[in-house]
Amino acid sequence: MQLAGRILTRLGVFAISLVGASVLIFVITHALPGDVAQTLLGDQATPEAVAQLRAELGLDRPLVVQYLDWFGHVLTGDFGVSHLSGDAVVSLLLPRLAVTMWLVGFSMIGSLLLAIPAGMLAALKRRSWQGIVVSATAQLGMAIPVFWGGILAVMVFAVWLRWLPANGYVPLTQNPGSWAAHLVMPVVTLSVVQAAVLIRYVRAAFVEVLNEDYYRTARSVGWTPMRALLRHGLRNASISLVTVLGLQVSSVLVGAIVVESVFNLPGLGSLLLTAVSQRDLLVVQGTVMFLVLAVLVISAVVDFSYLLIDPRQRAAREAR
Amino acid sequence: MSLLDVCDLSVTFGRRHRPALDGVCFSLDAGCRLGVIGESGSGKTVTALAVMGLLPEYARVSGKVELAGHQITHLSEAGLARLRGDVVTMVFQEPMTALDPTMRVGRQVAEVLRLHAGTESGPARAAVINMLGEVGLEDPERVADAYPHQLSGGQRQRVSLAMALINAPDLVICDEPTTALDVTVQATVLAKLNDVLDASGAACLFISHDLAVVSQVCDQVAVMLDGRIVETGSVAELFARPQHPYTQGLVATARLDQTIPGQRLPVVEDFYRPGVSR
Repeated sequence: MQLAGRILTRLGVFAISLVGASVLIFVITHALPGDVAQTLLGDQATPEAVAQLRAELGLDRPLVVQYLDWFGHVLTGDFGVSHLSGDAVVSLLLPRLAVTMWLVGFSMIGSLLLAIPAGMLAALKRRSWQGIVVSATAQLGMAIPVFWGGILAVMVFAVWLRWLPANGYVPLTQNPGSWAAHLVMPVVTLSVVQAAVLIRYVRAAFVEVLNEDYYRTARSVGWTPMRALLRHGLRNASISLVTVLGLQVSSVLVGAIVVESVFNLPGLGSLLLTAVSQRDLLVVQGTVMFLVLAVLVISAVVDFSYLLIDPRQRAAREAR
Repeated sequence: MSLLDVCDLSVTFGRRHRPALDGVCFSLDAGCRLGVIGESGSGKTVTALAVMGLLPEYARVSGKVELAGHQITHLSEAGLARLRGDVVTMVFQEPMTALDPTMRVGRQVAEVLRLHAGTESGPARAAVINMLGEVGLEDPERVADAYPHQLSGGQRQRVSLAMALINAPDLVICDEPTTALDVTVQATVLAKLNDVLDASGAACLFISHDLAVVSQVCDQVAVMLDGRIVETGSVAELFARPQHPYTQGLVATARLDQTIPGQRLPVVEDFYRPGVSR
């Protein structure tokens, strides 16, 4: 019963966040200078022609009416139709969603695979040169903008070494080998940049573990420092890391938008950038709504993952 | 040859000039129990950690610590890890935080067994339940499946004791194991500690600030003050003829039953003032 109440509260927060985000998205997209009618008709169009097209597209109605019309349809899963191509926004989003999901998913995994060992090493060796080198490298990594790192990777691995394709994308179903080859550089770029941010948190979480009594107990029964950390530290540290990871998801999505445009990947990010530059408002709104939804879903998952990690939270929840 | 031989042990932390331990010497024979008593900051825990080889890396250690023929100060981390949990084990002061909060306690005890003896999980569980019963836990099956937060302080400390004893170590170091427990629980845990030490024949280094507690477990006592051992002897001797003024103070405070009603209770400062008698 308590769990049901808990889920209901969570769903309520979810709904309010979604409505809030939709208003914000709508207002911001409509505050953008320029409009799609102008883009469609070109620079030579007469003001009358532009005004007529705006009326046809429904852009001359009051904003509140436009918003309610749009959001009402969104709730039924209808994100509208692109003013430019005439395609349904959903049909534009879905194939691109796969690309972004691969990129973001692999990058999250990659950044954890980099950040956890590096952060543990930085924590264990925090008083010797190895720890300082790891921390300094992470600081340096944080200072590197994603796009610069991506371009550097293209220069080295695609242009000089010719190991990997410089850009583009091949669907998994078409050619798995080529799919992987096209994803390697974007994923590595995004992973490295995210890992640089994460390492600090991982280090801090494990330094905390090193000062815990149960770590000392683990050492006193015969675990070496590294194995004591893996055996008894990882789960405890992940309680605080999961929070950070949940917050990082949105920054990974932002990073993905940049990486997609550097590597010319047909994902949500590049769709969004194109739509913004063409003032294709319904596509912009649809894409951003989708991203907001993704972030909200992931934070809900994070919230419930505490229950899996920490038995004390389970008990607290059962007691409530 | 004694089981534990500590000779001229000095420890200094970081850039501090004043050593935490200053030329500490003592030895402990197999199966014997030595109480180490002193106020906080006198170097009791540092002594224990030095014997375990668990001092932080910024500690500077000199002197000799020989345990069961191994020079602790010269051993590698891997060599130390083999001794810890097997030859020498430790029970810590804080039962509330000494166990991993995310792991069932039965697994934590079983882990120690499997780490050193390589026991399979089936027999390990049986041995764990048996051990949990031996340290006086009722319903050991249920306790083994509990998480630390589901147990009381006394229960947790018994679990720590089980962890320390499951590999039948030669030496058990107890660092104020009952200080965090309330008095009634303290008495039962101490009684159980006596029983299991008798049964296993393990030697014990028992650290406390409380002479009354030490006298329940140990036959020999070393009194520590400012990183040095100022007096050693049997418990009976120490109670009868304390030599050092600090020890006299300790004995007086442990013998409150001898105070005349209506009179002010004795404090250590009546006998010893820091910086006066040195």
